[in-house]
Amino acid sequence: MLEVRDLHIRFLNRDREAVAGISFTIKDGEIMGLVGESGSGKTVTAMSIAGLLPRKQCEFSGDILLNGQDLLHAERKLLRSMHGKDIGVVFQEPMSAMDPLMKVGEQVGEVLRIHTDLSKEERREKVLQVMREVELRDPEAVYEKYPHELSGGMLQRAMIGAAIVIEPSLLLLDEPTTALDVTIQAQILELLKRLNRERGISMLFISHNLNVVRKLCRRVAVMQRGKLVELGETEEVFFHPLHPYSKKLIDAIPTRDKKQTEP
Amino acid sequence: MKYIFKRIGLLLITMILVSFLTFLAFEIVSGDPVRNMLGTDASPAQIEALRQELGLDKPFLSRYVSWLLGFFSGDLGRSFSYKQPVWELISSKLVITLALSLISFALIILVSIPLGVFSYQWVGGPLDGVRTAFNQLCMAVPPFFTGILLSWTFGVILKVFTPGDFPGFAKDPGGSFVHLFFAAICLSIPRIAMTVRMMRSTIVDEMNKAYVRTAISRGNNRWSVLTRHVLKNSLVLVVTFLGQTLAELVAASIVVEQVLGIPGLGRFLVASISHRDYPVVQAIVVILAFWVVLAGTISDIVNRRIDPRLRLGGEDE
Repeated sequence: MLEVRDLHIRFLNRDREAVAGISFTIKDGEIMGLVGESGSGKTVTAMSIAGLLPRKQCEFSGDILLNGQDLLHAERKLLRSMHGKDIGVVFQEPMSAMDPLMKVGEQVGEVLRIHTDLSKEERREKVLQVMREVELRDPEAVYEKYPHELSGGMLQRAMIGAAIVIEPSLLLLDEPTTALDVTIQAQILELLKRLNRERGISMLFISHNLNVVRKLCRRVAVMQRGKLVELGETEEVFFHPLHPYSKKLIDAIPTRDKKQTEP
Repeated sequence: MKYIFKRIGLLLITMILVSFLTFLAFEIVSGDPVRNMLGTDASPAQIEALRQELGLDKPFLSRYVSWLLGFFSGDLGRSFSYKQPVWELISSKLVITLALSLISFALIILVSIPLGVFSYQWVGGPLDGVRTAFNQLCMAVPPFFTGILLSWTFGVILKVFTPGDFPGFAKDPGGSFVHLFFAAICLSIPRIAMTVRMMRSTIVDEMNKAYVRTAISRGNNRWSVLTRHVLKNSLVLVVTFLGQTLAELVAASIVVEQVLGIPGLGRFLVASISHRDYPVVQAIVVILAFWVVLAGTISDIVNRRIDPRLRLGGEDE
């Protein structure tokens, strides 16, 4: 469904490639994890898949194919027609990712406004429906609220709702739980799992936290300095890491039986 | 509702404070209105008589209180020099200055908001440098200079209006409007330039915010990102700035009224200060203070409509 082939990205003001030749595929209905520390190139990879790469500021080569359609070299107009419709994106901090002056309901329905001919009432119905689906309580009230009136967890649910209100082929999640506290984090992961199970939405889940990825993804790719250093079944990578970097990432996960040397 | 009452309260306090300070300023500043009116060879008895007649023999505070009470009952006092009620003297001039300010303000809004958006589209383009230079020029050119320039081209050469001969609304509303319109152009050019520059930089800032990326990821094109998201977010700062502009316009019109010979409040204020015509000055200053606070209040109310976060506290509606 999504195929990334030998992707290279270098920003013009840098010497080192941000993404140095990575390849992977995501199958239909799969949740794939992409882990790595900050600066490893995982967000750049995600942005290039989402078609949000600032093309004038970088050199790039390779292929990104979504259902056979090339995204990396696609024309702006074609990309715009795919944004939101074929690829939904959920960003890290819901509070800043939302327009502070637009009602939450309108933001959730924005994709519908852009990509469908539905009337205002029909859009509202769809939005309320998707809000129920992402387990927002009292959707009618939430619809009329502004972002500052909702909690981070509720906003992230709304953001997820906005990304799936038209069924996209791929849902890109760029550290969607990093800014949230642990209980909310767990709830959002459950929600994503359920959406994947019930709706069969494919997802690429980006995180620096291997433990979170383990809860959600069958397969995981580990990135370091722009390269994929490990790719495989999550449990496999988790218990038998081949690359020393993956080992280090796994060792960094705090557990109950392991003594922490660092606070 | 509570908010409105709060603003009205604030308005009253400001006006009382300002009127007190002007009263005080004239008490301290040198120059005697009585000597001014009677000339240098008046006898002490004459001076004393007039002083009593005008109520200037009473102590400072009691004069202030009686003025304040008069003001709230609608009596602005009598002019020393013209021996006429102040309100009769200034009301027609107030209308002219108000009209001038409002025409300028309308010009500023109508021109600078589209131009600000347009100028954002030029960011980084080949004409961006030209635009910056032109913008600086417009900001630097003083209204009196534009006034002279416009009087000369449109007044003397093209004879669209006669500089110095303001027809008055009653006699010739169309001609008066044209006259004021040219004055408004002079007043608004530097302010349009400032507003455009401000809008441009605010839009550039907003464009780098995370919500813009979200909007793009949903399939908005550049134009709809701008009109549906960024413009509204940029407006809060711009509205605040426009509020200040509205407040300043009345004061700024003083000079332009002089240059183009418009019998407005500004000209009258300058004349009254030099004649030490306290009641007139006092009334005009309080009206100006009222205008400044009013402009601030309007921009606050508009901003509360734009930005729901400013309505925190739930006093609105």
